[in-house]
Amino acid sequence: MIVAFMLCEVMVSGRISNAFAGDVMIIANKEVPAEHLGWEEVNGIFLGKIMRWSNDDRIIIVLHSNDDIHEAFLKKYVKRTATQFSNVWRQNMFTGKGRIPVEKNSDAELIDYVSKTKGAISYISSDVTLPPGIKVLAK
Amino acid sequence: MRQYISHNKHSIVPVDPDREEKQMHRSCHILIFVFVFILVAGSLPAGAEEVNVHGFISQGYLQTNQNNYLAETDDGSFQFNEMGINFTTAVSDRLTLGCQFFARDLGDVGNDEIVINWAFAEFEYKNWLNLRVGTLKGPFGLYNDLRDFDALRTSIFLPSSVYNEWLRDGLNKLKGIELFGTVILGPLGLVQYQTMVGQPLISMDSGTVKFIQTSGGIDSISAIENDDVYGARLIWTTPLTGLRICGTYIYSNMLYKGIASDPRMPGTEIPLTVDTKNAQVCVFSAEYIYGDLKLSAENYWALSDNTATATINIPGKDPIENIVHQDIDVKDSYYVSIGYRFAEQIEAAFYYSEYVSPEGIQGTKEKLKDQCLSFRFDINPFWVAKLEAHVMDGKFGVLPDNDGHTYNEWMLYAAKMSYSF
Repeated sequence: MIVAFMLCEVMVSGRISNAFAGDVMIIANKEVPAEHLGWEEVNGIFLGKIMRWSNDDRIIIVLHSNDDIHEAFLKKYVKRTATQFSNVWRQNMFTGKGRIPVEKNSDAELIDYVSKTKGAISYISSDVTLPPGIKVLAK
Repeated sequence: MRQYISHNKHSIVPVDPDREEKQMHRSCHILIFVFVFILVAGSLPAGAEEVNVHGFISQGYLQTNQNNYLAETDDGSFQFNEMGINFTTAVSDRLTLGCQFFARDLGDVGNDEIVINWAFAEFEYKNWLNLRVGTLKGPFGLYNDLRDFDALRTSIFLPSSVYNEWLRDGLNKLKGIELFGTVILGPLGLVQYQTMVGQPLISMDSGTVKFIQTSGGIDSISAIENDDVYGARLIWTTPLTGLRICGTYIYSNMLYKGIASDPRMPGTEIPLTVDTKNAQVCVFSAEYIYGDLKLSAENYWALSDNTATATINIPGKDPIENIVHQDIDVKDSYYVSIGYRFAEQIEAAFYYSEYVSPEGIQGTKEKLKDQCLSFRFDINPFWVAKLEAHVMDGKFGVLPDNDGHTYNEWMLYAAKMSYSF
C-alpha cells in the first residue's frame, strides 16, 4: 500500500529533478528477444498495449525517477506528456488492467535491476556507460 | 397499490417498504467499508508488492436553474458521490486476480450501496490472445472504462449523447467472459481488440430501470429479463502519432414488464410488456492528442425492434391485448470535444453533445443538446477539483422542477472534488 502510494506520487509529479539536456536511449535485459525497437513499439510497450516479448516472456517496465530524463523519454518515444502518461497507468490501476511499472531512483539502481530482471525494459541517458547484461534497443 | 416517495412529489420511483432498514444496512456497510479502507491503507507493510491496493472517493454538487436532472437539482443536490477500493495481485507470470468494491449515489440511483464494480481473473497467453472471466466492464466507446473514476477525465459528466448517465449500470457491468489482445500491424500501427459475452447485472433500483420509467411511458417496472449481451470493440492506434480510431458493437435482447396508466382513465393500471429484439448499439470514435491538446468525437447508433403489448381489462369482458410495434433507429447522436492543459495544474475542456431520441408513440422526438465547459484543477497528485457549466436545450431524460414544470432551455452547474491513491 505504501509502495503503491509512493509509486503513484512519484509517477504523477513527485519526481526527482536534475538538469538534463541530453538524449535518452532504450535499454533492456540482454535476454530480451529483440535487437531494435521503433518508437511505435516503445510507445505500445510503455502504454501497456504490448505486454509480452516475441518469445512470450512478460515485459517488465522500469521507469526512471529523474523528472527530466523521464520527460525526455516520453517526448521522444511515447509522444505523451507526463500527465497523460500517468493517467494511462492510473486508468489501468482503477480498471485492474496491466501491471504497474517498477520505478528506480538512480542510474545505478536502474541498471542493476534491468541487468538482473528477465524481460525488463527501461530508458536512461545516452551518456551512461552500460555494463554487460544490458542491451540498447533504440538510441 | 404503488406508493411513492413522500418527500419527493415528482419522483416516479416506487417506494421499497423496507427502504429504511436497507438504508441502515447500507450505512453499516459503508462504515465497514471505510473502516476496512483505513485499516488496509494503514497496515500494509512497506514492500508488500504482492497485493496492489488503490482507492478513490469523490463528492460532487449539482444545481439546475430549471428542471430536475439526475437528482433533485432544482434546489441543489449533494447526492452525487462515488467511492471505490480495489485489490489486484499477480498470482503467477500469466494469471492476475483483481476486485473493486464500489459505491455511488446520484439522486435515487445507487444510494451508496456497496457493490462489486469489477472482479475477474485474467489469463495472459500471447499479446494477441488473453482471457478475462468474472464481473467485467462492457466495451463501449473510448471512455466507458474510466467512467467510475472521476480523476481520469477533464469533465465531470461524459457527454450524455453517448454516455447516458441513466444507463450507466447496464453498460458498466457484465458477468461473463472476454477475449482481448493486441495485434501489431507494423507500419500501420496496432489494433487492440476486445470481444465479450455476458449477462448484464441490472438491478430493479438501477438507473436503467429508472430511466425506462422516466422516459419510456411506463409507470413502474416489475421484472426485467435479459438475454446474454455480445460486445466487441476495436481500437486502432494509427501511424499518425496521437490518433486513435475506435469502433464498438453491442447486441442484446431484453424484455421488461410493468404497469402503465392511461390519462384518459385515471386510476386504471394497464399491464404492459415491452419486448426489445435485436437491440444493436454501435459507437464510432476518434481521438487525437497533440501535446497538451486533445480532440475527440463519438457517434452513437441504436437499432432495435420493439413490441409493446398492453393488456386492457374491462370488467365482464375478455382482456383486450393492444400490440404496438416500433423500429428504433437512432443515428443522430454525437459529440465533439476539445481539451487543453494550460499549465501543469489547470486543464479546460469544451464539448458539444446532441442526443435525439427515437420517435415516440405520438411521433415526436425528444432531444437534448448540451454545451459543456469544464475546468479541472490538479491540486496535487491526489486531489482534483472540477467546475463545469452546461447550457442545455431539450427535455430528454429531464424530470420536472419542484413546481411540476419542464423547460427546454436550462442550465446545469456541477462541482466535484476527488481524492485517489
